[in-house]
Amino acid sequence: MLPWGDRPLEEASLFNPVFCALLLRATVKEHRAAAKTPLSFPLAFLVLPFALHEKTRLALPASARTMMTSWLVDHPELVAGFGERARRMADTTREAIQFGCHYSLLRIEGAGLDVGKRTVKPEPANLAENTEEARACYAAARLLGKWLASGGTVPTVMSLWGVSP
Amino acid sequence: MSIVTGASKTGKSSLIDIIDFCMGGSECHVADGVIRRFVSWYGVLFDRGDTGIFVARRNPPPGQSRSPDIYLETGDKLASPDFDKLTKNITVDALEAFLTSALGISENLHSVPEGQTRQPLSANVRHALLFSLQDQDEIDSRRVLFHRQSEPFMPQAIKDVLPYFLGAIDEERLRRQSELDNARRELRKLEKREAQRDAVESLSLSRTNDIYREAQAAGLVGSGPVPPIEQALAVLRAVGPAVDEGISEPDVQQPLGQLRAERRRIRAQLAQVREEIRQAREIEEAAGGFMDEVHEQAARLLPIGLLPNSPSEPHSCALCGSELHESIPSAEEIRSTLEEVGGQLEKVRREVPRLQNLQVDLIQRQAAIEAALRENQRQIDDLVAKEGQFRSEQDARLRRARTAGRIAYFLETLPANEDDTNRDGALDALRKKIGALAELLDPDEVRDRLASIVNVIGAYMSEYSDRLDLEHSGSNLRLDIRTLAVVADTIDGPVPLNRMGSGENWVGYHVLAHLSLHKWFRQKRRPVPAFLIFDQPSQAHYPPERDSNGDVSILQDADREAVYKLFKLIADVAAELSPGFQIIVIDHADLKDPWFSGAVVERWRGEALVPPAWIS
Repeated sequence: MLPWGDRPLEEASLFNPVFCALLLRATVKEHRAAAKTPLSFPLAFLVLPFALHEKTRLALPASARTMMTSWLVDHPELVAGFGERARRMADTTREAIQFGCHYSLLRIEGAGLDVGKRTVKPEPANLAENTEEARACYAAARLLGKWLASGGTVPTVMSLWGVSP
Repeated sequence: MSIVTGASKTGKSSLIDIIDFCMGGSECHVADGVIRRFVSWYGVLFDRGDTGIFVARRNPPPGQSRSPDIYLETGDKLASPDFDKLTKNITVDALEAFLTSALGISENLHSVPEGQTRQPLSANVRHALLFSLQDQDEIDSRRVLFHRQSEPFMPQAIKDVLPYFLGAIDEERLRRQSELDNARRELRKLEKREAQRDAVESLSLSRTNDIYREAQAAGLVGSGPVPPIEQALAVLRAVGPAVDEGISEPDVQQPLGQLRAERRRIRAQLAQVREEIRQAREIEEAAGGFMDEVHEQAARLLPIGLLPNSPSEPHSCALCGSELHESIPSAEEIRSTLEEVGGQLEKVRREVPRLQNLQVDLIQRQAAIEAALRENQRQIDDLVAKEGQFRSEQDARLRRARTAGRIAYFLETLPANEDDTNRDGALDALRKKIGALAELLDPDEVRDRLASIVNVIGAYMSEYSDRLDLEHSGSNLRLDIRTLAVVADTIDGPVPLNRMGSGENWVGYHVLAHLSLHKWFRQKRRPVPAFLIFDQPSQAHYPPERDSNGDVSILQDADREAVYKLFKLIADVAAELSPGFQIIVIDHADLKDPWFSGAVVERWRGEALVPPAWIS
């Protein structure tokens, strides 16, 4: 990753570690609520390429009742480019995890990622200043958290998304 | 060859129903009884050589035949997961789509001949499975050759999908068909426009645009984009023949600038669509490596780059890749998780994304954009030509008068323009393209290819038949795909299966036909499951009621010999097509020969599919 000051302004602000860490936290939190376990570490790298990709967000179902496996099978065009997007976002994800852990938004628990101690009030996802797009990113991240809690084993999920660590 | 041998009522025949259910069957056909009462989930583990797919389905509650709960798991070195991990994570429809794509069935559509009312049919895993199963009532049937052929509408469906599975229909066919439809649509449009040009009373939008822009260039009407046709005509009518001296210098640059800006926009769209098409093709080619060993590496999962390049690096942080002086426990744990998951995924293939429909859409969009680009270019050319004319004419007043005159003339008659030879050229080119595509899609060619494939399979059948003592062994055998039956061509004319006598012939020809079909499927790597299940092939000679602990020595010599030859043929073909092919035989017979007993995987005498312990 380039030092913060050398990054193109647009990239630096769109993928800034605070926002990314909060997205990860949203996924981890939903996952924790549904599965009662930390989010397995490799799966954390699915969050940003999923939630920050506009075409993916637009194709998402309204509720988590649609199963992830079913949705994946129905959207080959989004899955096809996912591996490449995930690879490009890996550094950003690492940075967001480090940042999130440093500020206790996230916590490393065993071989997974869990919600950190810090309580954030008001909930960042509900801020009135959020743009429509930011709101959609949080919603996507939460949906992924629910999905990953019931999607199957880590290898199954990763192979359906077409990625490996 | 894997043999499941055993006594009656031990659940042997239910294996076929369980496999059918776990491969996306809408209903569970497992017969009511011990299995239905004491089993909660059915599971099947598929071995794809480098990867495993595990599918489990919940046994429907008593009195019902449907259950929505399906668990799917994939991975390298996969074993059946623990019972408590089974939860619903996929739907029936998605499972069917997943297995269809995992099997390598590309998008395909059987188009229905004109005049018939049934829906076009797309072959999927459910159809592929029809060629892999033979239950005990089918294998000795004189009327039915394939699994489920006796059900309503199934014979037609089998006939529709068979050309695809045999490989008589090119994988490119769907794409070509859509290109052809597109070209035909375009041709109709061009021809229609051609006809309109001849009709004096028809108003051509592009002619109005031309004259409007000409009027703009002459300064007779205000600048800006051309308004809708009615409004444009009203403006033109208001121009009138009188020429106002005060009109400003003609400005051709302004409309030209607009057109050029538009062209840049269209070009950018075109480049984007082309890029999307290229990407789609690239992904398809890379991921579609099931046809092409060279791309095998590319077909692997895309690594995100979480693992450090050299896993033996002693103390680099799994999180950031930087060196650590003392290892942090959780970082170590993460590294081991990553390596474990990475190892499990090492050999997993990327599922082939089914992108052909996407490409069809993209190609249609590309065609539309290209048409817009051509239209834009034509308008620019016209305008540039007129600009040249302006320069050559010295009197601006005369020019405007001339334009006003042309407007008046246009409004009065709205006639067809002089013949445009370029358009004729486009028409010709399009007709040629349609001709070439139609030839590639010639149904005769599919028929010819099919005939040749059926001949090859017939030759395999005749060859294998020498090793069984059947009524027509040694004569020319063939698969008649119009009647879905085996036919023996004898000197007295063709004899179809249903006119042959005796159960041993019926079983024998079922076995021959399926072995030969699968030999073809494997040679051509067709997307049909690489397994074949025969339920009770010995029944003509060794019926269940004569079963005595699987011992065939109680039979007469001729019967014993026939049973031996049939199993030997199955074993030999299984060996011939292995690795990568499995024949599962379910039978009472239990031969003593080593090649037979070595292949027995289950012997249910006292034991059964449902262990006695579960019942008590």
